[in-house]
Amino acid sequence: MSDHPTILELELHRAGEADPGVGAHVASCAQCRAELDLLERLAGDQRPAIGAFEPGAPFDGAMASLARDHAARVHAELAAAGSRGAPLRRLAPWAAAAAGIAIVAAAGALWRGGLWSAAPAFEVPAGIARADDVNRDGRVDVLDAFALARALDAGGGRPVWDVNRDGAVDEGDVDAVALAAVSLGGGGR
Amino acid sequence: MSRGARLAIAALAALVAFTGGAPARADETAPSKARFRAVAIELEVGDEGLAAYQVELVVRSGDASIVGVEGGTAAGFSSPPYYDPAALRAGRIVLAAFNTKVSLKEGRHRVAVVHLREAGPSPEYALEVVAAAAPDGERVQVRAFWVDAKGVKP
Repeated sequence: MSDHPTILELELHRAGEADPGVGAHVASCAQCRAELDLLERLAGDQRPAIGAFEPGAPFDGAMASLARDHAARVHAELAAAGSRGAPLRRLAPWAAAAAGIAIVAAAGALWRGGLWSAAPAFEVPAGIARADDVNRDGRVDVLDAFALARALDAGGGRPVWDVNRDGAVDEGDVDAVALAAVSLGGGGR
Repeated sequence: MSRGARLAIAALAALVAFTGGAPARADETAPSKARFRAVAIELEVGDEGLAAYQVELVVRSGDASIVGVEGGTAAGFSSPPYYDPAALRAGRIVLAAFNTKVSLKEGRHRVAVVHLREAGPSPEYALEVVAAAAPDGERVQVRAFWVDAKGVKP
């Protein structure tokens, strides 16, 4: 049976939610890094369609929980297949692409309230947080720029904080958030 | 020249002498002289310290506009703060700055200087703290003051 992480574990790793062991494996596995790059590109392609979408913490947590559960089931199936002497083949790249698209599309559908609207397992926030509302307090002010600058100093930086859409999370995004905060045109709220 | 024409010329001359010929009062015709002044914005920081601030300055009444912004004298806040260039020549400006390396200790610190153009009677301003944070990112309360040549105005 393959020791590679599943595509969902790779997606969790891309979102910063995976177990540390996944990151260690990816760091030493060129094949997994290639698939991770593919997921990143797919997610990047979806961003223009979805916009500066930043789910609230409950939403984010629920999605991560679903993905973890699914990954656990896949692991169990792989283990069962391995014990029967018929190891499952690793997902092909096109399957990885499809899974990535499905995850992003599902997130977008959930964002629009299209799924689970009858009996939500969690409460979708009334207002989706803006990407530049880094500290999720419902408004954009200097504290958001400060929080992002501190995160960058600490070596962090989530892809969703690419506020200026230049493909990198850096000082340019800090400036973009700060300028939104002081904008007289209603940049903050 | 007919008598009517002479009467008309005399009436016109009298009218000119009564109005246009009289010296006008200065405050009726001369435009209000513009003047410039700089006001410093100071923050009174508590024992939590300060690493980020955002304030809003609004011209509440009178003829005034913001024409320039400078940094303050406090360590770590000597560069000009963030502001919207559209605020220049306008009556409202939002200033913001932060520093992840240097924070302000308890006390009063000058964080920015705003240059104003005023005309006519003294304009009224309002200065409000929008947000402030301690070095650890936690929101804190600070008081804002401005200082000009005439003294301190909260």
